[in-house]
Amino acid sequence: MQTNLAPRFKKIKSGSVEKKWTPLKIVMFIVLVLYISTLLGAIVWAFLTSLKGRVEYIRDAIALPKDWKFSNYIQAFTELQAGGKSVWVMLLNSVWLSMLPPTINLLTAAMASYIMAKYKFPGRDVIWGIMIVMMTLPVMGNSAAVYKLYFKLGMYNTPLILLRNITGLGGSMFLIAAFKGQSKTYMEAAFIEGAGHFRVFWQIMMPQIIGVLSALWVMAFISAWNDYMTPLMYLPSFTPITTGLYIYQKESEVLLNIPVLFAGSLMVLLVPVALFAIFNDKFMQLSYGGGIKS
Amino acid sequence: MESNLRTTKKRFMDRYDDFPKPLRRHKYLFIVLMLSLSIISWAVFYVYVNFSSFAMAFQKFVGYGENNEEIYVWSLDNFRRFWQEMTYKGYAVKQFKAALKNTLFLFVAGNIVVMPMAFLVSYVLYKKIHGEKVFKVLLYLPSILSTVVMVTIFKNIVEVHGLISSISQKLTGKAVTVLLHDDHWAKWTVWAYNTWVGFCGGYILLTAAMSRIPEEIVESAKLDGIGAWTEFWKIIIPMIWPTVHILLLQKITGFLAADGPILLLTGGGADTYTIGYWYYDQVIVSHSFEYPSAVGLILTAFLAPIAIIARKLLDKVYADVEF
Repeated sequence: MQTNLAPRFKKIKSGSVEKKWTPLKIVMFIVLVLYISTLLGAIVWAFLTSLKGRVEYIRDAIALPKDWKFSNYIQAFTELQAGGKSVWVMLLNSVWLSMLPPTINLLTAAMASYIMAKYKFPGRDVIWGIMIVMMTLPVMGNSAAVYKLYFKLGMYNTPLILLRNITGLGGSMFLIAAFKGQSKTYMEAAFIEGAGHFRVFWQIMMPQIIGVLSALWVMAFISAWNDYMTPLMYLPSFTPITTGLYIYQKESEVLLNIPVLFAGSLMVLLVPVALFAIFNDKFMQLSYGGGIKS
Repeated sequence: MESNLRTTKKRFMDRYDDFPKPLRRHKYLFIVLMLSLSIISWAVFYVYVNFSSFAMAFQKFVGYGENNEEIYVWSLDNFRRFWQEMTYKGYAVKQFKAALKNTLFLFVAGNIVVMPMAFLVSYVLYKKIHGEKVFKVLLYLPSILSTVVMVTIFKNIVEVHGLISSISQKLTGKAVTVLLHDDHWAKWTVWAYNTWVGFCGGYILLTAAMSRIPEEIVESAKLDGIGAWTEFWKIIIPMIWPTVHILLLQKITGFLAADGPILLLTGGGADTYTIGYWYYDQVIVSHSFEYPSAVGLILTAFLAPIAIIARKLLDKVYADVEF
């Protein structure tokens, strides 16, 4: 009996992993293929449009470009100005506005999470409690107070706005888990060797979670690169390229050169897409679980 | 007294002093230094902000003093105004009432598509659909593509001279001009954009949770001969309930965020004010602070109990599953 059952059981088990078509899967396959074609189709259409002349596009939005004007991509660098700022200035703003916030964010989150994960001290439960309450209690519509505070602290329209990226309590749950997952053995060994608290944190524990940290950093970089709202609201003098694309469209309503705008837009899109292409394995591991091996 | 103090001290040592002696001295200094930034940031950007928002809700700006300082008086005017606007019979597109109505519409109409899609997509990904890996990569795209760029493309598809209009002109001879400019249609265009970009939002969380279900459980159920429908409702959903719980709670508490990029799409035109856009308009554009704070207080007073009750109810559906 035993010998009969075992192979049958095995067969069924591998059968579940096998890709079998079911009606639901067929329907969903079609839905997903259609959905993804609208996404990619829109981008392909935008690419074709970016190669047209300005009037050519206004006359006909569907036809293929007559002669492929790759010069639009060069023209984008001179034409896409916003509030008198050139593309180069806006790109520079984009660079610091997407690199510094994730760095500040993750460093401060790591500092607090490390303590929460590895140290015992009075008041620890209080901080835990605050974190839990903050996660469950939604607070709505305090943006007026935030705006006023930024003015009061001199953060409005100055690089000091980066202070808002210091992670407060409640923003670092993810890293607590990452630190908790690291065994205490390395810590203890280093302490015995005579290393101090900070040295253990910086030279032993941080390198252990560098895989998670770097993946999170890239993700945060991408969302900061795409963030047009924060600079629009708080940094009118430091317009990054995404906000610039919006301001350009607003400023040049009638004279808008859509093909050149599309050329610029697609170049802006290239940054997150390239990063995603490089780090896509790490993104998937981080998103779908399984953790990241450092 | 003395011995009492000593036992307290001993208890304290037992609980917290887990380090060798030379490290103990610096331990608390280290803890304070490492936590200080987070605690200050929390105190300023969370505690202070919310207290001042609360206070502002009961204030009224009355003018400037001798030294050009702003003068406020305590008043319930903001709440009276809110009541008046909510009970006002007519319809003003730029008022909070319209914004609330549109946000509710986008929240409900959006989730009717997005939520089932999230479950269906994660289910077929879990069941290893053909092309699973390619789908996983491509479905990730909307979350990393710049909103400004996606809206720029989308807008030119639905705009008066855009793609849809051009196609319609070729086929029927008529241009489509209503999509972004008609009070009735513009909401649906915003909805279409949100659905397009957030198509099956949340599927990553769900897929990750499903992939953690122990295979033996699904297998033994299969040996018992249950169908896919029963398997989904009786095994998969209960097994991933903690994740579903988080997702649903996020939806409820993030209700205010159900607005989409109104500023980029319509600029608030054609009756597309949402709560998010209304706040932008009030605070950033019009520099009106007290009234939005009062509205925020009212919203919080409504939503916080809902969130807490929802949490309690969701907790009861299935007892926490651990595996």
